[in-house]
Amino acid sequence: MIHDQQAAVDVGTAYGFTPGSPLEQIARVGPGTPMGEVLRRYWQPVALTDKVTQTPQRVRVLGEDLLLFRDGTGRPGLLYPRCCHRGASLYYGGVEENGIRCCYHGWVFDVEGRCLEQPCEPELGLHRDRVRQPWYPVTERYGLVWAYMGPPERKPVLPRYDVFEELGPGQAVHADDSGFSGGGPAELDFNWVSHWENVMDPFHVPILHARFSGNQFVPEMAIMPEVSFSYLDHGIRSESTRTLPDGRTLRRVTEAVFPNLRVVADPRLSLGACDVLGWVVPVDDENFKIFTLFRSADPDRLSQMRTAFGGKRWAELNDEEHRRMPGDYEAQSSQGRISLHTDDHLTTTDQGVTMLRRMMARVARQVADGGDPPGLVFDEKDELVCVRGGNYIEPLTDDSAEATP
Amino acid sequence: MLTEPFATAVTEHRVSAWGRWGRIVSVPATAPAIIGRLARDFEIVWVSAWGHNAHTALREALGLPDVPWRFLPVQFGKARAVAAYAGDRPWALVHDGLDDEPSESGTVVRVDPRRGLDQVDAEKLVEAVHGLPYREIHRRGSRP
Repeated sequence: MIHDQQAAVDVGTAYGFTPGSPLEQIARVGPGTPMGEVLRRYWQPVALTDKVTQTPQRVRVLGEDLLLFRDGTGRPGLLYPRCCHRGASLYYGGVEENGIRCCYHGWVFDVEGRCLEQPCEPELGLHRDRVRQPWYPVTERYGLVWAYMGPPERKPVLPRYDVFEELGPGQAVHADDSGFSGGGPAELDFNWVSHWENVMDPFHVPILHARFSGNQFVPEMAIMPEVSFSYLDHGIRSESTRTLPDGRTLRRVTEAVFPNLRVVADPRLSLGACDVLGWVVPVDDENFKIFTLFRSADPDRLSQMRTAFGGKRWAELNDEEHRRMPGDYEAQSSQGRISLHTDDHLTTTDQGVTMLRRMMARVARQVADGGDPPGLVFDEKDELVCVRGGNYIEPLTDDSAEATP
Repeated sequence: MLTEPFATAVTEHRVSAWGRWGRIVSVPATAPAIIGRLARDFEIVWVSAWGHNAHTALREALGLPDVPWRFLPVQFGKARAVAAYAGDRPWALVHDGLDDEPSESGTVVRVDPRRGLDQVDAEKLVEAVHGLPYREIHRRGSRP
């Protein structure tokens, strides 16, 4: 009788459904937020070197509105935009040899916020050294401008990466800010975590990028992998193993390196260590950019690697084509501007996601308690980071040791 | 499973459940004995992201019975789900998750992810739950 009654009533309807909420401690990036404070402990790329000129430009990073420019001597500067005199925006200022001059009363600030001149004041401001325009340290490497937005006394060394230090003939390091690997626009309009945790989600590849939308990469990626997940000191690693049709074994090693570096083995299966690294940099809670560095003799290599949907670029698709051939952007952006994590039903194949979330929360607590997050380098002798992600083929012989990283 | 850096002695196990994924996990060396003791007085249910895979994956590492314990398919609001499952029975939730698990009707034992079950005093927990007012302890398998 009871069984019959249950069958007569609809179960699980949307009536009365209450949506869940984000995991705030990992999703929010503003000053003072748990993960925001973690992100601020590392150097973050904020622009391509080539795009930083003597024309001031507004940038938004980790929820902070800032002004980026290059002074007349070529030094990049990242300043709080509201002039410390009376609040006019330095966006309307003029860049000069040693700094930027506010349009309102002409105060001049150098790239480290020192006030060099107060032209309306006697002797250009007898007390001008008592004010400081808020600023952040910036430096340039690999074609990117990097900013350190954390506590000054804990400023680390900007790392070098072995794959960008050991170049082959004709090769150079190139930088890209077009949203490579985001599968959509250059600035992506949803919370960074939805993209970041996708790095540790190898099981979506044969579904979203093969079965659902056709082979967006190469046919081998349609093979359902067996995956090992592991915690590293500096992040999470997944190792996806696929048995290829010729009997060889493909090991695809991907790492999510704290706090926001994606080391994703090429889904088109170029072999060896990964030489395309991407930093997932939150603009704010609901937008992010991806700054990518790659090593190549061909500066157009990255644009050739971008996913094509039925022969078209993402931006060329109409609405119906987006619906019919969804990629990473469609999947991740549709999770919401900020995903409702507490509505998720994670399972064991989502283990990489779970591990990443747990590690993020643990590191955020660690930082809140006054500790350092993982992977920071404070001594230049330790600045070289070795990249372990990549595609490795294990030959049919018994001895496959040389094929492993 | 513990999160590094460990704050207790551990044993390492490679776990999986019907293939597809694998992982080396570390569990407190004391965990099998603690679980065995708790299982004498409690009906144990999994409330884990690992769902139905949890028992299969961790059976050997934790010395669990062959017949899987039940699992509750929730990952947040676990205390609420356990309370609903327990009905009028007293209950306890051992929790190392990211979020708090407020509870009005049972006992939530918050453990450090670096120590896990090693932080649970099984005898005290059994005693505490036995001591919860107005509820009758139902022995394992005797759920009404």
